[in-house]
Amino acid sequence: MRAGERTQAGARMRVFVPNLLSWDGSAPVTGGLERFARQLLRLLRSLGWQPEVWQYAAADWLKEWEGFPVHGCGLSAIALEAGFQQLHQGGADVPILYASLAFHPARYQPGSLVMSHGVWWDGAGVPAEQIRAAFRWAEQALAQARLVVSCDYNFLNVVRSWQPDLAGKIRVIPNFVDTDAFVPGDAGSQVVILYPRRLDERRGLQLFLQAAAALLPRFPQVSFLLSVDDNHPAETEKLRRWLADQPWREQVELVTASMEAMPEVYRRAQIVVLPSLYSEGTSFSCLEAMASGCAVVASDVGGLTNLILSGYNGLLLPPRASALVEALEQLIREPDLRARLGRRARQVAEEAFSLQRWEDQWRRVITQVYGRPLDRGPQHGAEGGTGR
Amino acid sequence: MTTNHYHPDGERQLYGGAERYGLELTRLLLDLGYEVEWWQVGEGWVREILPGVPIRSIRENSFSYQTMPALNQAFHARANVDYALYFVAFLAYPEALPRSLAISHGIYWDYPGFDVTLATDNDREEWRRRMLLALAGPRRIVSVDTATIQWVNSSWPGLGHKLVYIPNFVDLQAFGSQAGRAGQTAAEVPGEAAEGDEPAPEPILGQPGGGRPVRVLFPRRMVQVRGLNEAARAAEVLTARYENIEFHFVGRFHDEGLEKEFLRWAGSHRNIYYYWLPPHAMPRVYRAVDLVLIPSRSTEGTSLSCLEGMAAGRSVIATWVGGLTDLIIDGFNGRLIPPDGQALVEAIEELGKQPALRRQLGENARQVARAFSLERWRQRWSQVLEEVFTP
Repeated sequence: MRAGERTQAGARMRVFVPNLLSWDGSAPVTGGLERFARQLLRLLRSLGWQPEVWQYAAADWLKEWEGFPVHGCGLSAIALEAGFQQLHQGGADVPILYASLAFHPARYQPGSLVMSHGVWWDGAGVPAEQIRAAFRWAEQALAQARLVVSCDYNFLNVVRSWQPDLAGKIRVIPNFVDTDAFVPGDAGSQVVILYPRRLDERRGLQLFLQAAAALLPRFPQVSFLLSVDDNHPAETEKLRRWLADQPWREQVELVTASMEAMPEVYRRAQIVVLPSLYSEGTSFSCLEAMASGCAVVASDVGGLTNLILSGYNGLLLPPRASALVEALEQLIREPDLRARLGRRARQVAEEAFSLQRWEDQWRRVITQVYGRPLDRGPQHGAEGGTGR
Repeated sequence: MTTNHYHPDGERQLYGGAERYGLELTRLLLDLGYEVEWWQVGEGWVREILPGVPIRSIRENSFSYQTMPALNQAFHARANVDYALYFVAFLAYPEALPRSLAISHGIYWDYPGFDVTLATDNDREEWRRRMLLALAGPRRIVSVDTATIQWVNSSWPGLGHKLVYIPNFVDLQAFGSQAGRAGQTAAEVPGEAAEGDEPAPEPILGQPGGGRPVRVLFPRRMVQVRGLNEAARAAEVLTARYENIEFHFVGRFHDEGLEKEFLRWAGSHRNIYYYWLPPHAMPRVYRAVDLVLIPSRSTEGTSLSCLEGMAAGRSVIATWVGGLTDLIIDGFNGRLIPPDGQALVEAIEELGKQPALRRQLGENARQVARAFSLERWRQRWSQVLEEVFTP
């Protein structure tokens, strides 16, 4: 008996978030996807849906995260494909929103929305086979989905230059920043240069350290601040020991800050460096640095170029140490330039990347693809399959 | 080395964004003390591109897999030069001088028609192979947008280190110096209007009330990839829906027959105008309008027209195609929309009805345009030239 269930659960929606919690379900995985998922789930709820998260997992489990149920798909331990299939079992009339595309062969629910978080295969040394696969997974989503939402224009540009006729399905909704939580601090006399990223080779930590080694001996009034994750304590410890061996150790500080503490970390900095090598969307770190009124120096990689207009609200550079050193030196020497870039970055964040703007854009595509929760009669809801 | 600065017959000088780019680059090279000569496709004639700067032509126009290997080889056989600059990146296939540079003016293979020119997987692969060689040969590739860098990196990860992003420039003097309120005609430019005059209120779409209409400008070459069809349809829909909106199509077709046809079409619609002007007259047009449309479907770098509209302080409605995303942040200094007619109509309506929003986007656009000055472009180029050409 479906009708009775529907009254109670008629507004159910499954939301695929590959790794919201760890595979054993014990802890959230901090990062951009978590920030994105939180706002998306809240928005769905405000629209009258009852969203439930489904994700890859080591075993079947049901947890709760910030008031939302999270289902672990335990077959993922055999193969991601199998775990992904679990999300489609026993709920043919429950709509599914894919908050990330799948990196394996997949059948998406017809008429659904799939999210892309940017190009991830654009780094030196990515094997040709992985690139071919990446295009295959993107093409698979584009061919099957009703709409693909991308968080940046670069995914769209790459798809259009490769398969122009598939690009029409893509809608771009850049990420957001909470401009009330992230606000400019008082620029002190000490110039603090911040690296606020995870310890991940894609994020260009090595470039940041090379710049530190080149600049710190020459600029005693400058200090470098690294705010990194503690997901792999051994790695963090290794970095800490390495820093302690450097002649400029007094000018460097390493912190592992929680998400809640990040606004305060940004407030300490005048300059924020995002020297990513590849795999960037519209980075939350970049948006947070902008909202905090920092002068941002970012690589001309992926979606970072959609946030920074070089020379206006920050600087864009190729991911090379020489270019980074040159740009930082200019910013260290020119406090007016720093202040100007930071002021405009804040203005851009407020006017173009507010949470409210993001919600308006998402509300529109969700309604376009899934209708309103109360409109969904059996004939609409069942388009994913026959009654079982 | 380029394809066509002049028409291959040597008679007509083409005049578009690429040609302006070539002239500015030549001026910079001369200022830096280089002796410059250009080579292109033609009947063997020699002309001057600027006083004292020859442009020679080579009788090789064969084209295969979107490259011109015969022209490339003839150039290397005949040109006795120390350094080479391949003005369009594919010209560096199959060979590039050791000290050389190439320029990418943006992605031009992002429309369905391109697929037809390379119809099979093998053709496509051969084209990609040749592009890879063209990109690998020169020491650096200057890219006018980040979209191309992203395409290179997502096609051949790691090759992106060759590319240097130098966005296009805008003449801030010509387009920005008198940027004032929208709708000024020459007689109303500041300083010429009588003192103490109250500025006329800016028009609101759907509220005629006697003032001038909302003016919308399409300032592009009149070709499909620039979104001409979408803009024309939007003009039909909106002039029928509203009394107080005016469309100005300003630019040339490649073909006089089409120009005549378009003139007839415009003439048969109330409030749709079609004409063309020399570049030096364009700043006036930008000043006289409220909205600038850059609705390209594909093949877009950091568009000069977009930059000019920005420098003039106008709100720009652009599509999220190619390098346009390097110029506009949606909702901050303009709008970025998908390349379809419906989205264009909606965006024009939205901005047409909100003069305050238009002013805000236009003012931000004017500020942003200052980051794209000719001086900065010359600095960036000088740096690359020094890096590559210094012995």
